Amino acid sequence: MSSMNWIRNFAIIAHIDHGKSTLADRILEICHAIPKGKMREQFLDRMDLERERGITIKAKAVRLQYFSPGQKREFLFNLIDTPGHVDFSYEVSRSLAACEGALLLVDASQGAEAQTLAHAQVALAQGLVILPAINKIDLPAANVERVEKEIETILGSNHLPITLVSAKHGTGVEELLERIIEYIPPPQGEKTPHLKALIFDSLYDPYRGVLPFIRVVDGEIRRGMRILFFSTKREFEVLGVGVFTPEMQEVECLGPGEVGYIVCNMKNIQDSRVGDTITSADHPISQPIPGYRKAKSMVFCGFYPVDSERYEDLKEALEKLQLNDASLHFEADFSEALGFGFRCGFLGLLHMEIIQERIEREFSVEVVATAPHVVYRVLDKRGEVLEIKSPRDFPSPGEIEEAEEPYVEVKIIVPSAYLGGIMELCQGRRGTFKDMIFLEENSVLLTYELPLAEILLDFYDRLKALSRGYASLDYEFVGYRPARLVRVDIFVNRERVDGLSFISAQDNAYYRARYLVGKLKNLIPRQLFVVSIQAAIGGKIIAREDIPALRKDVLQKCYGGDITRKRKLLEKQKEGKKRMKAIGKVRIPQEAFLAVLKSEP
Amino acid sequence: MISISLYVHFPFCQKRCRYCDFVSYPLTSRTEHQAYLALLQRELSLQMEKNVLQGRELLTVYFGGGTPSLFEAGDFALFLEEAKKFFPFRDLPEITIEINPEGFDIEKLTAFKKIGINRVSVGVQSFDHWRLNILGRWVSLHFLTDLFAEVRKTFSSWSIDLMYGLPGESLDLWQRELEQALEFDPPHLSIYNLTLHPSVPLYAFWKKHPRLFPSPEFEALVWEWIVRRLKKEGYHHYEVSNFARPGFECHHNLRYWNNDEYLGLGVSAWSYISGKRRKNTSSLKNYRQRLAKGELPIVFEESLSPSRKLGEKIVLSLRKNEGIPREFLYAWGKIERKEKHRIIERLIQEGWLVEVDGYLRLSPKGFLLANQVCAELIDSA
Repeated sequence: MSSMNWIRNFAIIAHIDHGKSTLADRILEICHAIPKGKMREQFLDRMDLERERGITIKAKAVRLQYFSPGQKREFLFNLIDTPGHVDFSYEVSRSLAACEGALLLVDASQGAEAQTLAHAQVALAQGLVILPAINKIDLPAANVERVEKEIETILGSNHLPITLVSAKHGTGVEELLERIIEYIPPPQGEKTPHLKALIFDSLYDPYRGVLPFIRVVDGEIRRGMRILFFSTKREFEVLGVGVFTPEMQEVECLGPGEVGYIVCNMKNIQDSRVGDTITSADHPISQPIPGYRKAKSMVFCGFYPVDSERYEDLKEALEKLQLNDASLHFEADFSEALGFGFRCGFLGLLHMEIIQERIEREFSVEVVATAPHVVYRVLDKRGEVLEIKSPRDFPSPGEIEEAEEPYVEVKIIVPSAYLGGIMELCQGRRGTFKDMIFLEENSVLLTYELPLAEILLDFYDRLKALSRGYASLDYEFVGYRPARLVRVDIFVNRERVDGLSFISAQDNAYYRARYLVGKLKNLIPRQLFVVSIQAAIGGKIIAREDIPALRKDVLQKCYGGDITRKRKLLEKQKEGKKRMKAIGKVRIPQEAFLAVLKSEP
Repeated sequence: MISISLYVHFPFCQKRCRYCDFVSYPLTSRTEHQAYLALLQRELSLQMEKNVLQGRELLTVYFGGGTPSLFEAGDFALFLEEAKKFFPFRDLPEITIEINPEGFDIEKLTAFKKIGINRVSVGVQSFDHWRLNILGRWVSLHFLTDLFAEVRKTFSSWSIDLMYGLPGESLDLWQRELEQALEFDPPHLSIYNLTLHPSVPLYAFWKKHPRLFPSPEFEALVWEWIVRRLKKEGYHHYEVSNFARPGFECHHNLRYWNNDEYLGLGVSAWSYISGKRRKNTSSLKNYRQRLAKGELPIVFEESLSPSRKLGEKIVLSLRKNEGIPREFLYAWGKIERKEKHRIIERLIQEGWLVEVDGYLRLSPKGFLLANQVCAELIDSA
């Protein structure tokens, strides 16, 4: 098949801020994909939030026509953009599965980070050709030699030649494109009636429904065909086929090795699962593409509207976000303290933050988010296994036969100067040491196993603080392990506040309870009466603080008849109150609910 | 006859105090002072053209600042002549001037008296040198003794301003402050809390050294002692921060709290006329330009909505000792009478409010938390 020889499918593996989107912009420019006037920075990051945070949330694919001066002919590039954060590793692995090769892009001043390493290992395991490149060589702090050494440790001594790039200035980009043609193999595939295609992403379009993004492995997909989704066993009719240039453009068909999207009148994003295989309904294949797994929520928390009358608005916001995000789960929930809301499941902490921010920004619904936590498994005395998604459902100590919590394998890359502090941190978080490798003289790759719950508890912030921002982290779920767990409840004026309850390892429970109670004392504003804050396990109080009653306001003079000043003060006070949740007569600010997240000052 | 008051702002100071965020320009020349006076007269006649105010009875005039005491008696005389053309009065109005003792020429007092000023308010703030330094002020006790001897001789109605909540305060120190003030036997005292706007130098100091400033608990202690002490001396606590011997209340300030109308003149002055609150420009240059064009120098105007009006009424009434009629609270606002009744009864039961002859007023402990109690009442209104 001659035409496949001119196709190259590749992804870019890079850590946040290492310049992946800027490199993509340069490639787009060289291939004249976007008219000059329409070019804006980080073109592929569609949402404002992505551009602001400088990260790519959803993977995208662009088809580009590249005229190679070296080969004196045109090539078809499919650039598959991958998300760059630890929460989205599964999506990354599926995007990689749609490629034959990957550019490994490392910042010349920062060096390899844990995530880059993790993704590079995934790519290697999938048999991809890895083309290393060092970006930002124009920076004064660039240390190309050091980064070269790190790349060698990661890829082995017989790696492909390293291209030196400054994506910002365009230096080395054309050389890189020529090397893509030279080293990354064209796709292999057969033109058979037995269609085999991989879903690596999808998009919800209000007019056309869910559009799965696919990579065709074998066969062809064209309008009018009936197709079958392997995992859901559901059939759809193909109403259209298209590619991203990067704007959407309809095409006749997608053949072996090609990348694009399909329109099939699909209403529910749950039917288009990332990693799933599509085949022809009339000529199905027997085995799907390996590696599919259902996206599983690892982190849960409650979202409640600050204004209880906006429950319906919050529901609508979550529904709309879910249209584009199959990994977001939610179910209605009721808390005595916080009223009606939703218990939501996320891939990780960043995913949770992004969703909260989008609800507040795009739908203008203010939410109180409770402390995030993991799913625990409890075998109770009756012999039943319970999946605990909310601290509220956690049984009292007497009812538990055995409890288990999820563990992750954590990879940390850290300059050797901070090694001791980071190891102490992992140790203190109930970690088990696994491995330690020197990537080069000054940079160490540490591997630990840690309870996931410990990572949710400001682990990342501590890691950054202890390493002055140099350490980087990646983690992967490795399974459930037995643990001695208890639920700690918080009572404000003797009323239990659901949103403040947390599940903790028994050994840490006293310490965490004391810390949280002390913190709440400072966060809950003084009231006209004394407020007591207590922490309890079962019926036993383990920590207590009292917030003294407010004694005195600022007694202002009314200067020169400026009454509005006084009134504004009261109105501001009132506005502040609105953002708080009333528990009995006490108002609790949102920061208090977030305080459960912090372990120590 | 409908009554009115005049507030006249003088935005000039010898130097800026470290806690003050009011508009003020450094001391300027005599010619500039006279020019400002001409602008005030121009604004007054313009205000009379654009508002229907003619013929109202003038009850009080207040020369505030800034430092109005930098001006000469003749300046005030000119202004008062102009004002009398527009507003008739039966009895002599209360005419107050604020005096900053620092650099004040005591001779001016008799001149002030001669042209009709009949009340002076002296901004002492503190008798303690260290505390004055913190505020960016300086005046000797010796000078103040001379000043108050002359004030007492010249005026029957006068006041001392004191401030609490300053760094390094102790109860002992505050007792000395007040005893010192009482030695001068003022018929009126304003004692108020230091409040810092982020734009003033002392705010940065407070941010850096919050522990130097007294806690609310301590302030409450000081305040309770002040109230007891002044009551014993025969002073009447007639408003949150104001104390007076019977008959010596400041009528001008009472008009603010009674929601009576007043016309503010000068840079950054506030007015309350026909249910509208208005503010003049804060820039002397803009003030001059607007008047030259024959425009009013107003930069902010707000017609009070019924709920805001009600909120203000509650806040202002509760500042005064007499309080607010319970029936008034029932008659206005959106919430049902039964619910209001429940809230008011709770506030009484918890000891924040007391009821006297159908009027609700703040208890001593309620005075200390006036903002909180007002907020609860506004919520219920």
